Order: sequence, then C-alpha cells, then structure tokens
Amino acid sequence: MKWRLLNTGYGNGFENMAIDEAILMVHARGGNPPTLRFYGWKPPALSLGYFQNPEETVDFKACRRLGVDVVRRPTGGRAVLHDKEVTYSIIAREDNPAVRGTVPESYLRLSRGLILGLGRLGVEVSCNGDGGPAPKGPACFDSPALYELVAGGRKLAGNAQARKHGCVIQHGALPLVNDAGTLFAVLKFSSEAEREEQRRRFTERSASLEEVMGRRVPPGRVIQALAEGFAEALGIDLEPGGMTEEELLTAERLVREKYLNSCKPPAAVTGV
Amino acid sequence: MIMDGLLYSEDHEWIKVNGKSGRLGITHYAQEALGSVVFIELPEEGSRVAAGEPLGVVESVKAASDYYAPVSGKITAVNGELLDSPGLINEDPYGKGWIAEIELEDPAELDKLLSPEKYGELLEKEGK
Repeated sequence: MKWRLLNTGYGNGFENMAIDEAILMVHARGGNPPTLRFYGWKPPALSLGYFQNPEETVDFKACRRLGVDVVRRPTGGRAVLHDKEVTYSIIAREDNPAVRGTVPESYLRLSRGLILGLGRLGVEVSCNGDGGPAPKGPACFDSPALYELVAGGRKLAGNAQARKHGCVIQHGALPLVNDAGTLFAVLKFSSEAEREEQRRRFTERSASLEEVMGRRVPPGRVIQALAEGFAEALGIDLEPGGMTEEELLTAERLVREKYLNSCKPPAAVTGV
Repeated sequence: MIMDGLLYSEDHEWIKVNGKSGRLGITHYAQEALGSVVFIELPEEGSRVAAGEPLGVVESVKAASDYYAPVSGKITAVNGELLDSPGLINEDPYGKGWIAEIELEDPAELDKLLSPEKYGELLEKEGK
C-alpha cells in the first residue's frame, strides 16, 4: 500500500499539533493518502495529554522565562517536553491494516516499526509487554506504559494515540538529548523536594538516544532509519510528498481556533 | 458480549430506548478494544447532538478516542459518577457504565441502528 512520507521540519507546538489534526481531518474525507510524518520543534514546547489540567500541571511563569510554549495534544497520556527530538506521527483510517484492531494491537504493530528503525541505528530496544499500574506523576517519560520502547530498562520512546473521525493518529517522541532539567522546571509540584524526587526518578527511568548510543546522531539519520523501520514492519511503500493546500488551510485554521488557546495560562501570569 | 433489548451503532455505541428517550453508552467490544478507561469527557446536559457526531472523548491507556451520538437529540442527563470512576465503563458497559440520556429528535433514526443480531454479525465480519 502506498503511503505518503512527509517531513515538515521544525515548527512551533501549535503548528505541529494543528498539522497532525489537519492531516487526520482531510484523511477522514478521503483527501490524502495515509501518512507517516516526521517533525521537529522550535521553540521547545511542553505538550499535555488531552485530559491533563494545565493549571494543575504547568508552571506557566517558568515556561515564559524559559521560552517554552504549552500546547494540548489531541492524544492521551501525560506531559512531554519537546526540544531536541525526532517526532513522528502516523495517520490512517481505522480499517487500514497498519492500525486496525484494538488500541494495544495497533500499538504493538507500530512499535515494531520503531524497533526495526532503531535496530538500523544499532540500538537494541525491547517492547514493554506489561503496562503495570496506571502511572501517577505528571511527566510522561517517568514510566514505560504498555508496549513502549525500553532500552537497557529505561524508556526511550513515548507514544500516544487518538481515534477521531474514523481515523487513528499515533504520534511519538524519540528524545535525541536528555533535558530533564527543563522538563521538571516547567511542571508544577507540591514542593521542591517532590520536584527533585520526581526528576531523579525520571532520569533513572528514561533515556535519550544520545545516552543509549554514546554519541549524538543527526535527526536526518534517525528519520531515515525510522521511516525504513515503519515501511518494513507495516509492509508499506513510502512516497515522499508535501502537504496539500487543503491541509495547509485546515492547519492554519486549527492553530487560530484551537491550538493557540488549547492551554492558556491563568490570568495572573499573562497580566490580563 | 452483546445485550438483548438494545440498539447498536456501527461506531460501537448502544442505546436503550424508552418511549421518546434513551440511555446510551459504549459497547462491551468498544471498552475491550480501548483497554482500561482512565478519563471521560461527558457531553453537556441540555446540549443538542446530531447522530454520528462526536459526543465526547474517552481516554484509555494513552489513547484519546471520540465516541459518537447514535441518534440526534437533546442530552437530558449524564452519568457524573464516571468522572470519579471511569473504570465503570470497563466493568459494566451496559449498566453502571452508561454515559448519557438523550431525548430523541427523530425516532425514525432508530431504524438505521443495528439489532443485537446485526451488531453481532458486524463484529464477526470485522473479525472482532
């Protein structure tokens, strides 16, 4: 089956989330092929899961001081700081063989793409088969959920899914460099001791590609390896392409009408 | 598991009709496919919804999934207990895990829904 391989380069958090949703909306109407997209983040952004409460989770003053945008994802899960990372999204109709079936079934299938892709970089990862109890902390990477990728016992890639308009979107982040300092500076905690404890726990349990490989790898190389891994795991042909006019216009509208205001700071921070 | 006495949508919602209103939720298959439900966004009481349109969102193990209105109408009640205990959707999808009650706008829409037998055939056809 022919898929589009789309690399939208760096964008801000609002654009990045709007583009994912625009591709999904257009796909639901049959206006584009199933898509594997790669993207990066500039400036850095903190993304919250669909159900996370921004006021309870985010220190907006710290975000402003550190130049970190805050955006809500259409997908589930917890907070992720996106900075130096490779992010992918996969968008296809629910009946597409690549994503069909239950949530865990599709997770497992897509994880194979990541495992094969990382294998091409010489990174051995395993797929966490036991989700264990529901995670408690606000930060996403502090524990591997079901079918997430673990290297040397530490979580390497975080994934989240949404099912809307008869389509599935799964996006995931592969951190190139660890930046737990910034992540834990922009999240809210009941005390500094709690912040430090959670940061320590996160650092123990999560890993960046640089830490796993012992060197930095250029994002382009990672993208190529992951694209090849997904193509092999899902049995799909990837054809490089760009965004359609309809997708661009939909994304612009979603930035304005939805994502710019998806995680507004409380009035005390904006001074309004 | 499919319950008798209910009507089903192709999007895996059920409705139990009582006169001009109905109580609705997601099916046993749907909750199984999602996995453990950890959050739910309920529709607003008094809001009007159209058949097939998103009614709210459920979050399971890291997937946020829309669920849809099986029929058009006005939401007259929601199951607030789910906000504290979303797991009821997994434990008892046709009972304590009900999501909302709706005043039917057009009872003729019920004809487009599936009987328990037809819904069973749909699941079988889709290999579920």
